[in-house]
Amino acid sequence: MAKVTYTRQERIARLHITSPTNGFGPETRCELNQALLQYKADNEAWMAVISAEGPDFAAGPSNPVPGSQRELRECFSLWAGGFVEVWKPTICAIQGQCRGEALALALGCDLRVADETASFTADFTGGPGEPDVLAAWLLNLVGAAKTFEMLWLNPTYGAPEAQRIGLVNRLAVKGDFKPLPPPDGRFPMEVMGTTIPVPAGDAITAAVRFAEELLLYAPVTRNFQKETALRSIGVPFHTAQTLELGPNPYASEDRIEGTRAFVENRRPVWHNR
Amino acid sequence: MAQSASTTSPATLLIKEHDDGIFIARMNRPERMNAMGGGLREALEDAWFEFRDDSQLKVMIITGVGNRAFCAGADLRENDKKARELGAQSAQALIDARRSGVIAPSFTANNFHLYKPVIAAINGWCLAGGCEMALGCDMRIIERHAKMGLPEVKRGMGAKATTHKLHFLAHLASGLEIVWTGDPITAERAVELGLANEVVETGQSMARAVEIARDMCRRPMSYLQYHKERVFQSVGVPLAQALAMEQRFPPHLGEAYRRGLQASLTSKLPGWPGHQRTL
Amino acid sequence: MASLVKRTEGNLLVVELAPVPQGNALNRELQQQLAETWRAFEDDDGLRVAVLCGAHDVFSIGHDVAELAGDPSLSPLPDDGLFPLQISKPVIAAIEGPCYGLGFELALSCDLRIAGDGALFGFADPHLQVPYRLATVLLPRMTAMGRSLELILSGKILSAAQMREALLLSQVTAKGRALPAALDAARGMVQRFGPAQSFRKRNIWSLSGVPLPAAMSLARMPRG
Repeated sequence: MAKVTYTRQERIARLHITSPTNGFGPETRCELNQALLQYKADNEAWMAVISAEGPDFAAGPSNPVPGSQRELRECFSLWAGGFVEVWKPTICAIQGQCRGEALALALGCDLRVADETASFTADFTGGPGEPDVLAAWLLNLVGAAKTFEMLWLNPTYGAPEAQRIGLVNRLAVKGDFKPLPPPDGRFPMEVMGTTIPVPAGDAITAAVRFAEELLLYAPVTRNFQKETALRSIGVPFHTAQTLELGPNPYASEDRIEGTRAFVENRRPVWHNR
Repeated sequence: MAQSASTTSPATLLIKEHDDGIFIARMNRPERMNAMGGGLREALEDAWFEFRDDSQLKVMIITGVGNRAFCAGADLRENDKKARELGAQSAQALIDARRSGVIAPSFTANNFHLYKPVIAAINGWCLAGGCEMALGCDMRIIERHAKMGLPEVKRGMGAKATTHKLHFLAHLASGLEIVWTGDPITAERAVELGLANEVVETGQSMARAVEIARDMCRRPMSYLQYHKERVFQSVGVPLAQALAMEQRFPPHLGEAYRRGLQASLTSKLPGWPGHQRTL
Repeated sequence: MASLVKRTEGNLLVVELAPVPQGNALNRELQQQLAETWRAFEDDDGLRVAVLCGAHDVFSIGHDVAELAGDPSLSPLPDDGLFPLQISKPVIAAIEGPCYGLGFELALSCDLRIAGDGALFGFADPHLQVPYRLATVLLPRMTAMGRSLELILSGKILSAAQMREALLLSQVTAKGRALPAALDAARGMVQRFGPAQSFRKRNIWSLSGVPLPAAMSLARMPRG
């Protein structure tokens, strides 16, 4: 039985972890990696939402259960490939507990939407051969000092504190959907929100809604920005500045469409090229 | 030695002032929200060179005149006009034209090794290329009503000059959120995220920036240059390698160090009443 | 004159900077004693976590300027090994009062910081032109670039609360309570990480400033 399902709703790929205890064993990890590579290959999907079934994002054992060495190696190379080499956005929806290996998964996504029940704990135990993937993400998300604090003191952060330090982008709250801009006219200028209101206040609906909002804008730009941002990590500053990475938005048809739509006072129609 | 000289006339797009080692540049194209057209971009580039090459100038402050705008970015109308003049392959032609010529130095790109501090006093709308310019400065003081944003994604443009440094300007996830939503953030949010250093009341960003610039000016040029350079040279490098760089005492700091030592004996340090630093 | 007071508590090492009248200034002797302390700490299998604090209400005001002014042959560059950054064992700094200059760098080079209300942090002495090289390397890895540059270039002083906002400090306690809190944290660490387990300090630092694919490979390699 599949532990991870892949479906696509128009431009949004839905990667859903279905296993009832959300234990992150080697099988789940490998299936998730396969799903990410499927998203990478699926040109019709411009955004992915990663979610898990149940009241908790991860209720099962939070530390990695080692598989065979070979399985681990294959899976790990997929993990790096799946998370680090997919140059289009991934959004993670988090409810309930998000800890250990599941936290590493959530932090490997680009953006995170959490509901009010969400909590974040590293559950790092420093066992021999324990992967440091969590540390690798934390260093880039919350900085070195906070990384050691989370890994060694093991605090549990609620969603608002997680948002304050940079682990969570948006909070899912109960409320009516904020209407998307009308299909004609220019995009309104509104201050960037900190919440996503959805009727049930759940993280998954909110993450999908967030994806819909982002899909209003230019895909070539998004993908270029992700690739540039991630591939500049660990590159000396002045070198990173001159790197030519990913599709060039300025040379894209979408850029011409964007300007034309602005001048003609209408919504742009993007083609991802 | 205080020296205050201003160059200003109704036609001046960039009002410049030297004030005792501080170089103040005020963008003055309010009818276009300081969009970088009509010669303003060139004026900024000239100012960059002026700041770099004048050994009397230690710290620079960039701001906009008035309360409405810091800088709204590229002048799209003017760029469009130029693009149409260049013909059908307009988008690519503009890119090629910019590449084939001299790559203009700018605050946006932190390039050409400008190792003297630059402070942005954000007095209003700070968008797109204007926001990139502010993020290329070393510090940002932002007025309560002002907003910062990178809306390029809504038009299919890139914000390339900033995306490679999102992970250390603030942190990775917020940076992606800002460039993917294209929405402006409030002054308070900018400080929360670490993108700005301080919120001040409307009209107060210049005064605060000058205060900070004066604090910086208490240090010699060699100190400011050495430390800014070290920061930018050690980012994006593995820790062990960064620690192994530049282990000697920098010779050009030596004289400043010796001169400062005597004064340091009687420095008053906040919260340390025993300012007599003798055994 | 004793400059460093050490005691052990189970597998914790507690190191106290002294003497108070000179603000726990990091003179040559104190630096050497600290370096020797970290070396011994690293080699002692009975010790797992260290807590570093200052005597009474001061962490350290930084360089011993009187010593430097009195001997021009002395370099202000810190002694090798003053900073516990590259040893394999965790060090928690418990900070009260002023934490300035080289003292601030020393605190930053510890893996965790806990401070009491009233602690002050920064490069406070505008007359002292020494290279704060460690700060230029560490600060941008811990906090936003703009904050890092402001601290180093303008000499801004931060309160404990501001340090925490900047993600540079784990906890603000009531004044005078930083050391007990740091000891609690250290004991908690030793309890959670049994003898067979490693804090993986060097492994984690080795991921800093490394491109993500390489970091993922390093992270996934089973390394002791």
